[in-house]
Amino acid sequence: MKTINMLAVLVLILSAASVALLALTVVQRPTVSINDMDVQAQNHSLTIPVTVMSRGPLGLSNITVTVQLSDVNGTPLMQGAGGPMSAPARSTILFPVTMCLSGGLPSSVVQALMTTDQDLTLTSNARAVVPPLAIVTASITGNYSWGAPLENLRVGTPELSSYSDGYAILSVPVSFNNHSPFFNISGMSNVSLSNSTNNDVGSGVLDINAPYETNYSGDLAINFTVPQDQQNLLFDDSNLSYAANWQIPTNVFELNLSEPLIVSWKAPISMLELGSFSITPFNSTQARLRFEISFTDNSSFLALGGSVSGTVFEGSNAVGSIGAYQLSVSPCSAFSGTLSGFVDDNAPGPLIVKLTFSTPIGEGSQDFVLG
Amino acid sequence: MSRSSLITRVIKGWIYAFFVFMACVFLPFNLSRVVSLFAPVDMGGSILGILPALVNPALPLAGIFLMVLVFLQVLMRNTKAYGPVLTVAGIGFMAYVYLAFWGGTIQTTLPTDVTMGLSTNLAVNLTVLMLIVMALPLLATAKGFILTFGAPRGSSRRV
Repeated sequence: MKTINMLAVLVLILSAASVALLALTVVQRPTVSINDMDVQAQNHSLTIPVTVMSRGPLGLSNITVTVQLSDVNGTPLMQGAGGPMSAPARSTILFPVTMCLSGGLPSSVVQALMTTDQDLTLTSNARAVVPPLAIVTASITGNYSWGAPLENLRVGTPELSSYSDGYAILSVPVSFNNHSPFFNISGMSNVSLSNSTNNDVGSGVLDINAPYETNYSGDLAINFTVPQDQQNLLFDDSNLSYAANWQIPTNVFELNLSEPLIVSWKAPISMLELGSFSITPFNSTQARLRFEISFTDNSSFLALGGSVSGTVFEGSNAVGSIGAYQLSVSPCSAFSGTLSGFVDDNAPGPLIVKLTFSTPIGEGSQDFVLG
Repeated sequence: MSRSSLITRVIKGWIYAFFVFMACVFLPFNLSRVVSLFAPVDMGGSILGILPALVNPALPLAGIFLMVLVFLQVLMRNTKAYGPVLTVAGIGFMAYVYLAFWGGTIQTTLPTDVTMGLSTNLAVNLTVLMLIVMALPLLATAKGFILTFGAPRGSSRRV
């Protein structure tokens, strides 16, 4: 019985001491804080320094944290973990939590993350031991307002200019707002332009300097290969569809984006018309044919050179020819001229004139009926 | 037992029962107010507000039961009934500790104003502490068992 009484006294002291120590630790509770300004973003990851301050008489050990950021559809976008680490009694430690972009994310999801501010769901599980008395686990959920590094990315209306030897300069205005506190966008961004068959038709470089939480606007100059040998582009205005593929340098990783680009093409031979014509006897077998043509060079950058010539048909038989006429038409200007040639005298008609244009960007022809 | 001895035991029993009442009934009911007297100023009102949720609703009733047992324990000291009463009181206190510690793990949701707006579910495993605190009533139960069943034959025992 004396043994039990002694044990009871010891247990009483131990219980009181344990409860008192734990109570003091709770009252002088550990604090956790994060300073956004100290987040390190590099090498495909974000490192978030968490400060853990243990103020009570009992320290913390085996502190572990897992973190996940998901989008509104529940797709995990970023995952990270930290620990295990220990915080002795009455000490402060820096506890880094490293987060990386989830592997295998569709490019559309990455692009949305980079270009659209959105509310992400933060889930975290933390565990710590207060040796030897307690194990604390916490599960945390909440919203995190994600600022996109390329928010409101706008690729403006491209304009063609400065044609030379089959190439033109495509000038594209670009702007975006860097809403991210982590991504520093700085450096040379390579851009390539590809057509619907995935062939490269142009390339350019944009020097971007958009540090954290700043706005950017600039003009991208793309060395653009003008489409060749496409008859419809000689005579018809058209909207040419391309994809602009960007490699944007950041301090975390290189962003690869693809944005559609529509180039407004204005035809260099627009509203081609045949005016009045005359057929006068020339000799015993041929007559001279004269007629007027007019058109407008709608292009803002392409001066039309080359020549126009023709063949005269009666049905499917060639009965005459039109001599070559040298062209020199400035951009955005009208042309009118008189073409002449010879036609067989005995061709009863109706006559069809096939005009053929030979230009630096290709050949094209159109038929006109005389009479 | 003489009359004066009985009166003394009754008074002593009420005093002990009163202390049990304060510790096991009054304190759980008024935990926030008591903690706020000793807590630091920066312990926000919202933290103190969750304390009532940490108190098992069965505790006050269990505390009243313990009050009765403690009174009987003092009254029955050095009698044949002391052993059984001590055993039951020991088991009662162990049950009280078990209820107070919610079986070893206390779970709660922290207020968002102290967690940067995040919803935080906290679980604290206090099994080790619970077993340490349970050790004392366990010893009392063992003592009661020994007194009830374990007294050797021929040994004298004060009545």
